[in-house]
Amino acid sequence: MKNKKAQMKIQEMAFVLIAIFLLFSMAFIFYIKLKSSNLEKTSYELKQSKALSILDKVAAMPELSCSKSLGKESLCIDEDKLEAMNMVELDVYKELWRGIKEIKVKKIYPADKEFIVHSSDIKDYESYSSFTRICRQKYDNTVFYQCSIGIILVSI
Amino acid sequence: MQNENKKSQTLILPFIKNNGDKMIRRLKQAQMPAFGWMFAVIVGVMILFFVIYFLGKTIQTETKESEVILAKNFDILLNPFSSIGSSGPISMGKIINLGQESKIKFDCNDYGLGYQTMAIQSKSAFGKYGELINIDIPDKYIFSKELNGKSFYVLSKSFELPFRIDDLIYILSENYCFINAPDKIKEQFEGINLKKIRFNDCLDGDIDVCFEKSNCDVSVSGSKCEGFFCDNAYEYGIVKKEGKEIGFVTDALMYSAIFSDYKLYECNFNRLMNRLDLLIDIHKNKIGIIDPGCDSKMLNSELSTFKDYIKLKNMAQLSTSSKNLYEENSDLECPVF
Repeated sequence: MKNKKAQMKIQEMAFVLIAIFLLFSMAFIFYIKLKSSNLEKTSYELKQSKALSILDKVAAMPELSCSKSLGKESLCIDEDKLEAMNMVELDVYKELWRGIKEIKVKKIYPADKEFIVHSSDIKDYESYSSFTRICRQKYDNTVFYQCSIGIILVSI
Repeated sequence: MQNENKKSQTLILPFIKNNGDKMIRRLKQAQMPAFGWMFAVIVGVMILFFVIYFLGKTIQTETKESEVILAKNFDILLNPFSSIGSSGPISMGKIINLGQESKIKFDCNDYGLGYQTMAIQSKSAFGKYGELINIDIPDKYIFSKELNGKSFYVLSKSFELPFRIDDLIYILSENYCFINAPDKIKEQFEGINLKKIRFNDCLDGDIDVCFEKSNCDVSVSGSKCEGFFCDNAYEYGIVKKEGKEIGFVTDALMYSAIFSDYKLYECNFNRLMNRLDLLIDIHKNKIGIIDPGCDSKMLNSELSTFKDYIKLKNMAQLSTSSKNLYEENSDLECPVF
């Protein structure tokens, strides 16, 4: 009779221990889930703000931006420079765009043309875009600029 | 005597025989509560240990996470300072408040286009500095000393030689006093309500920056740009500080030499020269692509000469060659830059 009582007590204690262990494990799993979803959200927000600020940066890059000689109109992307940049070894610029999947400049109207400024093999990415003006210097007795509508596409 | 002993043995032995099992059981029962307590204490200590360990780890991870977010946000907050693209005066001056006491140190690597590293350490709620977080910044040129504090003054200026290379970012946490500064320099700070830089009315603890004067914390001397169309106060010159002479070309690099430590300046200067080298190649390629009606080929040789001077790192030569290039480009019907 007494042996059975002791066995019962040991079993009781074991169950209490298992219950405590399960409770702690569940609380831990819940915490980890909450934490990881928060982390993912923060990382996504950081990526998003980075991509948006890069959109501005790309348009102002000296390698791509229109020349100062355009004066106030110089807030555009120089098509000649886009082509000239593709003639330079783009690998040199990889360091500058570390962590970015792709940067593309696309002419959408009137013509349709695409220039890849940077490309890497990063998987799992999201793309952001903004409109821009793409201009080219022309000469017909006097110098003038022929502009088209384009978009800058940043994948991060 | 022997009989008496035998008698007592015959009385005690059966008693022990009968009650021995009971006594052992009672003794074991007496030990049971002690075992129960010991077991509770051990399990309790183990649970407490795990809870404290888990809490410690959680706080450590939380601090690390908040520091990484702080560093990444700081990098993102600096992006607008490096993408203005406007020339002329200090193009942007703002205060960045990190919200918590932090220590920031910059380092640099000048291989190729290079990159900068930012090491950030912030004070936790317990008043202790957390773990040191390092992040790489490949797309900016930041000039600064070691920073300490909650809020920092950030300035940026476009670096042009003669075309724009990038915007340089200056971060200050100390007060500076400019003595005998040329009017051009005062003009450049106009419109920016920057309390960190005073002109002539110096206070104790300010870092004195003297122009064309010695015996100051920092002294600047060089070739001033004379004329109406000058964007810069100085074309090139030398900044003397901490017993070292730092060469500069244009005002943008002069401020870099004033506000940054020597090692960082040297490294970022090399990065900028490497970038300039690549930009020259792009401009040369552009000359080949540009509308055949635009005859810009004469700029090619000037660009090549300029490219050669980059390697020499002679500030006076760089300045003269850049001026020549600027003039030749301005004379062109279709300017290349």
